[in-house]
Amino acid sequence: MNIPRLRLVVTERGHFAFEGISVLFVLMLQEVPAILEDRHSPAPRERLFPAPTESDADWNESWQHLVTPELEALFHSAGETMARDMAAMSPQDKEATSYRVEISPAHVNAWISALNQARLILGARFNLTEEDLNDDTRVNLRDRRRVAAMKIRFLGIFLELLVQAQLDDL
Amino acid sequence: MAAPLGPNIGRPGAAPLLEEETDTRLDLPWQVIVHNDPINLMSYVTLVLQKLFGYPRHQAEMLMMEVHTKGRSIVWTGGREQAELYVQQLHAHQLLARMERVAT
Repeated sequence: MNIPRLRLVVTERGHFAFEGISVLFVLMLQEVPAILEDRHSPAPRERLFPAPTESDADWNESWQHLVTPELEALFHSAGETMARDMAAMSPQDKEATSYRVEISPAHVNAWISALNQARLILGARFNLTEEDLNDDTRVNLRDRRRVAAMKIRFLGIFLELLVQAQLDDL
Repeated sequence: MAAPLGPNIGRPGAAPLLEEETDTRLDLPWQVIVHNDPINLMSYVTLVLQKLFGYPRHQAEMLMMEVHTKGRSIVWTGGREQAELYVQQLHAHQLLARMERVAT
């Protein structure tokens, strides 16, 4: 059995494409829109829309009215863009052991935003620490915190590939 | 990927978000501070600092490492209006950022 090797390539027309996406990774990516729906729960909301100052209550409140709605729209739009691109994901072989999805340069920032939002939402939802994320011991699938940490790491693999491509471009 | 600006945030000539009429520290600069969080990738923080502030790679990495090891880093110092804009942009990139006035 061939184990697909995930990679980010640049296509002839200058788009990015994730290739060699295993079925497990496809399932992880497909879960992102559902994770993003949790954006407005208290803990994820506090993380995604932080206050601009430590203790200036008036300023922080003004920020909530003036800036937060803009960020909400931006984050929502990024998730929608990623979901639309995901809908065009296709198998790379007859057995459908690996998949491919293409991302136009104009959508790269949306993918980075959506993947990062999903990771932050999971982290906030389960109050995960750096120690949780570095815990390499076997994951008990009944332990929702450990499963969330695993998802954060998996989504981080896609994010890291996109970030490295962006860093190489600077 | 910066968010569109709010009505009073960071536009040239726009008033700061809140006016402070009698504060004698008005001339003091403001600091933009990035705080550590366990989720954001180190490479991602570096990328955002390079993109937003135009820092070269080594400087962005140095600031990122300071965030990682010390829990926070002052990534920019200057006028209030620009500090507001940077904090908004850092939030748009999902970094934990705050601004505070330079201590007297």
